[in-house]
Amino acid sequence: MKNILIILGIGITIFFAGCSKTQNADALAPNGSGQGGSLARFTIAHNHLYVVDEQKLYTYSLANPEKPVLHNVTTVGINVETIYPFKDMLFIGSQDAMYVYSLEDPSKPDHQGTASHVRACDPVVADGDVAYVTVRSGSTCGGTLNALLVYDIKNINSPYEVSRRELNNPWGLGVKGNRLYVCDGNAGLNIFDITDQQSPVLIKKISGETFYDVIVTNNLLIAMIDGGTALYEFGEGDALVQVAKITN
Amino acid sequence: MKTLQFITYCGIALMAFAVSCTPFDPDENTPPKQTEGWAPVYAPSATAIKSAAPRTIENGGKIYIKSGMLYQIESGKGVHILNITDPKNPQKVSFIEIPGCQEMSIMGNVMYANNVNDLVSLDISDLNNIVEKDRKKDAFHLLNKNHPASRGWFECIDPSKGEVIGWELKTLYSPKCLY
Repeated sequence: MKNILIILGIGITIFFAGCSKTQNADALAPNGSGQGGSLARFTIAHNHLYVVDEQKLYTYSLANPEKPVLHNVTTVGINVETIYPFKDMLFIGSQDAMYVYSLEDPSKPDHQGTASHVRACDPVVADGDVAYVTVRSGSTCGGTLNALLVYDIKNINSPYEVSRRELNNPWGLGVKGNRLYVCDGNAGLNIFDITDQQSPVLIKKISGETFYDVIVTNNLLIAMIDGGTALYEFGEGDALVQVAKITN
Repeated sequence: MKTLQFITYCGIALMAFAVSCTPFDPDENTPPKQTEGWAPVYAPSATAIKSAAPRTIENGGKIYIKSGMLYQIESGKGVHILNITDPKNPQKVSFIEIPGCQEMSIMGNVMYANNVNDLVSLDISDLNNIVEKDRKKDAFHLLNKNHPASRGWFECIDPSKGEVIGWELKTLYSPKCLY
């Protein structure tokens, strides 16, 4: 009997298109925080450091930046993998769900909603209305789904899937304007047009590297690749020009 | 009546057990010849956190950017710091040795990182002389020394190589261990 429903995803990422501008601004501000990739377990928002380990979310106040103060510990779920802040919310990805926490009180994240999956998810959210989730198989149980899933999250208490795109081996992702960049392991970096947020259209594939994660800024796409990092500048149309590769 | 209830409960328990313990199909449980996955990083001994000269990226991990600088985790060992103000000509600036490091974030001049399962705050105003400002012992359980945090195939641990202080992402060939 095939366990076709048991799908195992590993990487989990949460990303917001609406975030990229503020994050870039933060990245330039000496006193602000920087910008992490979509696979991170540490993130800073509202003067707090949030950390997720396999099960829990830890909240530290950075009122005194050199001496974080633990304000809250809450159990999120099992196999928690990533965390991403967006506006007044935290999106936490685990291998079988995406958890949404309110940061109305940044020192005490409050659980709002959960979107469960079949043993896998990598959420990404654009403009607050749509979450992009990558699902990667590769597993114990014969998971077969490798895809980009699109969730409507207008009602944060009950997200639902609106579309999906088959991929090879998807990992982290990032958004810039109406473009969604999805790392697809050794199959390359996929560029989707998300003008229609609920229906991404694959317009280009960048090959040549094994892509794991991306950070997208105004003028640069920084990719975590097998062995190091690659830097890309945005060219005409949707060209990505590799200007540097640091693998040694 | 009580017996019936008992039997019902047992039945439910058995069903739950059966569902959760469906045996793997051997055909689907065969290791892939090649896959991306996690491999253990070993340390002969834990060393103190300190600034060091730039070094070769061996097992590049997660990435982070701030103020024209690129930070890349060296899985289990520390953080590479590169100046990418001129993206065509990135320059390695420094390396911060942090045993067990997998995660980091920065606010202002303070870097927060995991030193195995401790949360450390580092003043990085002078990249050549970073200073540990705070340490929260056993703050979390980021590092599991028996298996990677993510499920899937991974490279088996070889205890003769030392203590596991991290997990690196790389291409695995016929991995034998499964989590």
